[in-house]
Amino acid sequence: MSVAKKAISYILAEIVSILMISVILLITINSNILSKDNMKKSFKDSGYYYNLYGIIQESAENEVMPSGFEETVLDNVFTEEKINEDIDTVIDCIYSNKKIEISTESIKQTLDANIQKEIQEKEYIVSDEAQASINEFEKAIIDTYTNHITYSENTINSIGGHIHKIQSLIKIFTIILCVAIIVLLVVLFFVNKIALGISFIISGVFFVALNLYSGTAVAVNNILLFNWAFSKTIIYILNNLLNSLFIAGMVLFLIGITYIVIIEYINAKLFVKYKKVN
Amino acid sequence: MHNSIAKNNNPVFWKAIEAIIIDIIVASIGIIIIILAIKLLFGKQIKTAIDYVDVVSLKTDSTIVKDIKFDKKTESIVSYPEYGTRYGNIRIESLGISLPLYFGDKLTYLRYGVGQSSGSYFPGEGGSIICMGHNNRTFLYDLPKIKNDAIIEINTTYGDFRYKVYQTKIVDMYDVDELTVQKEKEILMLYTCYPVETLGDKKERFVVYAERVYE
Repeated sequence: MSVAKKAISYILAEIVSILMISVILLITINSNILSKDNMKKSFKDSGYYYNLYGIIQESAENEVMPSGFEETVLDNVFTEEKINEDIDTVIDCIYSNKKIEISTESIKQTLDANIQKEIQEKEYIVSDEAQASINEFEKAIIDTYTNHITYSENTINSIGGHIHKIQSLIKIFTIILCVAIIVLLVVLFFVNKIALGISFIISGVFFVALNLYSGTAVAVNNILLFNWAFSKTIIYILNNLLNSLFIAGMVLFLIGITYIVIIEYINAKLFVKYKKVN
Repeated sequence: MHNSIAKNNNPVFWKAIEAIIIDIIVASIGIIIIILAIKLLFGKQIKTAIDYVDVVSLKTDSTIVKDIKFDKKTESIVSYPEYGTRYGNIRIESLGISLPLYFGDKLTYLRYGVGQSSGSYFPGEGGSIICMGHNNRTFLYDLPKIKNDAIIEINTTYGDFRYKVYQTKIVDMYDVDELTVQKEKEILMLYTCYPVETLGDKKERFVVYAERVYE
């Protein structure tokens, strides 16, 4: 093989590697972050619903402390099932680009009933002014709940608008890149078989190196956003993403190195046979 | 000579090894080219992303200051406590109140005692000290019963400080002008939600003003 042909084949291998890296990144992001079902699973597996229940309960207790009411006023107001349902609703709204609508009617009814029960038991006399304060207190408790479920409704609504567009773009690019990769791999196979294996090795080592770099340069496991429950879930999702890329990298590397070893062994055998004959 | 003998015994193996090593070197050059290209084209964006993650990450290598160091000459704190740590006690003997004192005014800390606003000075620094606590029976329910000339003691890990009450006020919760931070005089401002007896959301604050007593 001429030097020029070899050089061109290695350049093509480099291009194939870049395309493979791009397509794997797109597929991984699409199946991890942009997948509604995967996000719901991640929230569940990271214990988000249970952890958030604890945070909401504690935040509401902070509102109860200066109110004059006992903490029992919060009994059964919040449940893990309701939190689970509402978080799933928020996720559904984000991925279908719909406005978030969470019902707090059941929370209000239970809280109201608990307040009335305490007022009757302790024989409080509730003036119009006190009733207005109680209404404010109920609103504060409900706001505590909705703020922890949605965090920032405006931000979430704007994210939802972009997710659809990104998903469509990723699908189109993935198809184009896959076609390009297949064509170039076929070309490489006939031009320089070794270069094909080299492209796999380059892509594989890139992802392994990315994983190692992110472990040292980026403090993913120390992220703190909004609250520790949300942070734990974000860390879980990011670590899953990095692990997926690492596994993809290892698979590509092993395919590449195995392929090269086989081809070079065959080439060596042919070379030695040719040498002996001549 | 040994190498050539070994190579002559198994020429296919060594030929393959030679070729594989060259291929790995070529692959390594390829990886370096890709990494350099990414650094060149997206270096700024990557740095911005890493800086952002740093901003939202807890620093795990920060030193926790256990002892507050107070310089008596300059009357200033040399090493401040970590936000959210308990650094003393606040006592009002006339009301039978003795509560832990925390640096920080988040609701999380107010569950356990009296919080000191991070925007105010520390006891002993000669400026305004703003503290707050919940108005339930565990904490500052009896605060509105305080009289002028009552003594409030703050016992810290770096010294004990006494303050004499000279005024009390009921202010609107949004009226921050009633809690001015200044450095001319050491004034303790301790407040709680008001009225203490009613139920629900409280829109007022009962504020106690006390001046430092120097012995």
